Amino acid sequence: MPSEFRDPKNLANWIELDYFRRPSPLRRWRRWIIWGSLVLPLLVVVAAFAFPGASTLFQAGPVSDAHSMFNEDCQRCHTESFQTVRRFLPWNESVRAVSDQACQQCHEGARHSARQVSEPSCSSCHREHRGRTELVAVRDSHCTSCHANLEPHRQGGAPSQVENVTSFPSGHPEFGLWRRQESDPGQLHFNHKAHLAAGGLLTPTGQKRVLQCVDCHVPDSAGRYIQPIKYENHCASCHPLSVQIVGEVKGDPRVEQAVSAFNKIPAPHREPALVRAVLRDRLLEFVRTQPLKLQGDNPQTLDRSVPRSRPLEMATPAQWKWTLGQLNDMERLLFPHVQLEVNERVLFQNAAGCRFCHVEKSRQAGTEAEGLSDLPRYAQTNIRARWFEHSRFSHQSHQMLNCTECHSARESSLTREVLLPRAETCAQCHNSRVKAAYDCNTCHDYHDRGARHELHKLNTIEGFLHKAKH
Amino acid sequence: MPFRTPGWDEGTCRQVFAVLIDSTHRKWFLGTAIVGSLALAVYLLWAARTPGGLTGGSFLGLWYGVLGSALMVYAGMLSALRKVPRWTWLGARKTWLRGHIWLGLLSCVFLLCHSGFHLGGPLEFSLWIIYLLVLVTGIYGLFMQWLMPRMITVRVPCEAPYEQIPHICLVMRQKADDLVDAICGPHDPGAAQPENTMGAVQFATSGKLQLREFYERDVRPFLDPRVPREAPLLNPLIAESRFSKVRALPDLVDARDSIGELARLCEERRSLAIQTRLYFWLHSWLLVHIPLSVALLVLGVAHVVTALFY
Repeated sequence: MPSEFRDPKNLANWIELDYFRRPSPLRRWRRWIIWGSLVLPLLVVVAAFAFPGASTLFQAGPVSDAHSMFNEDCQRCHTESFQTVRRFLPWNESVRAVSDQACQQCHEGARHSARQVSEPSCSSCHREHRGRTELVAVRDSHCTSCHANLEPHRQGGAPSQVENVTSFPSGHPEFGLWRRQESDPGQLHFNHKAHLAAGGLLTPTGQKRVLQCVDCHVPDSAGRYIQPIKYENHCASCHPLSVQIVGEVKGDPRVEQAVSAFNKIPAPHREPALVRAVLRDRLLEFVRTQPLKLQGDNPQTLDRSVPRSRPLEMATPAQWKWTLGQLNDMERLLFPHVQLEVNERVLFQNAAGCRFCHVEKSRQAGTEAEGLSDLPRYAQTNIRARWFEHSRFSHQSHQMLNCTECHSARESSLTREVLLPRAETCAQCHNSRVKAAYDCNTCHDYHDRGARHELHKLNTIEGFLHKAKH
Repeated sequence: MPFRTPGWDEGTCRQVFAVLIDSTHRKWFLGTAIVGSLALAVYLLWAARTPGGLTGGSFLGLWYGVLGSALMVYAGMLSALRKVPRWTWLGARKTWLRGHIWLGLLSCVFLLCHSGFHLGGPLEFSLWIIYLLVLVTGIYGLFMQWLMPRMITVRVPCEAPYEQIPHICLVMRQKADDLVDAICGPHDPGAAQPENTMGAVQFATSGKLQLREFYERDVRPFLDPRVPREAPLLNPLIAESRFSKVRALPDLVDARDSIGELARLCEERRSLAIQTRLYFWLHSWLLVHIPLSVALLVLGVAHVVTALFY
């Protein structure tokens, strides 16, 4: 319905013909707002440039906690120019504003492999301004860019023992020791199955004790790896190296007490020559402190008798007196020698002695002059402290599991059997379905920690802080 | 029955957008979809081949940033185009508007890829928020630009130039004053206030006094350029009821035509009030969209400068 009053023929009566020359309130408001929106952000940006503390506004993200002291000091890490022109060209991945030298002021950045064809720059893997997690947790694609096809990325081609890896678990080869069908190089007789018997083991005290893995395998303070087994801590209580004064001791309680004390101290768990030396010293000391004694005039009642010596025949007091004088010195030599021989036989020749656990290689050779020619030589135990040396593991992170879920110790009776898990064991949890971490750096370190080198260490605290400020 | 716009009766948003994006937009839509998909596919393939993914500073990230920024600048130039209406060689304004819509949307793909789908630091986060608001207000404005003209056509039969509405109101009020003066005589403010019983009786029996009182209390304020929200005559039913009562007054039988004209003036004022409201919704989004776009460009420049510096 058109307006009855605003006749188009009579328009001048109704509208101001020059109205379009005057700015409307809406347009005026819009103009003010547009100018405001232009000036306000400009002021904010200028203010941010003017106040050094506000430079974080321009950062692509907060730096990680470890680098927070450089948060206001961009040049500390951004030592190179942005090289805008080069970045617009293809294949410019090597162009970095953060040089490796800037990182290596504080981080050693140990190399990955001496045979690597090209070493990527630090910042190509470690992305800063994305929080600590992103800085440390390097994505798998960094690893698989070479390891998916190792041959062109390694001087001399791919070694035979390293297989290509694309992912875990599906694209990961079996662990090296299983691929190489390695056996445990340990030179020690040990039966895990017997030690973990459900019925327990008989201890020297006559009681039965059920052993658990952790009774012997104790994690380190970080909870990562297992500390080496020590005879004194883990074996000695059930397998003491007992030595004894052999023979009958009667009468003198002081001597009886000394013999008892001697018997309580086992031989040291050291090499045979040292065991012999220690035993000899102890026996000589025993003889020195417990001299030969006769009770009354009865020559048949010796306090200490030499083992297997024949009973003394009846002698006249004069003969006995003479003999006693001679024997005093002989006893000092004879007693330790015989005792030592007996104890060494128990330790070094009996099946329950050292050979019970240790592998005898040969007898000593060429040392007759030193009196060592009859001593056995045992192989080094060669118990491996670390198995998967190219990976890391935390036993603490897996403490919710029984040890035997991964280590088949209950079925192992031979030392040569390897009790480490296979890749498929790990893959039961570490996969995309269960979602236990399964990326490369969960188990592997890029930097070869064995190839550490010293940092320059030229910084003083003052100099370091001065650099950090400027 | 609530108001319904044409085409709304069938009732689906799909139909609305089918009208918004009509056949003239089809090429733009297809072009945007194809280029956007290709850009995304290239980015994803490249990112999959790059260890750790792409960043804004990488080769592809930089180029995507440049392209996204260029599209944003192009979209922003629509406003600048108004300043140079004589530059017809730049192309039809309609084409620029379509480019503004579709290339502005396309910039979203390039900027997302440029950012590596990260929000970034404070500046970049601010840019994302502003960019999102610009997109949302733009889409809202596009909807309003489709809906409001149709509503104005239906609900405002006597549309007037928006800027002239206050002036027209004043003219209408002057005309109404003249009409009422002709019926009731010159306005005497004291006469309409009955102070005693006699005055009340006189008021009750005088139609002219009641007309004057009705005019001064309801009609005249309603014809003011700034009509109050609670004005009863904004409601057509109330208005019709009031005017019917006035027409029925015994001594105003001869003035029915004039009263009818007064009622039509009120109806036209009501129509202009609706136009004002609809016009506000039609253009008010620009008060948000344009300033945010300007802020986006300014902060975008700051982002480019700081990013290229480091």
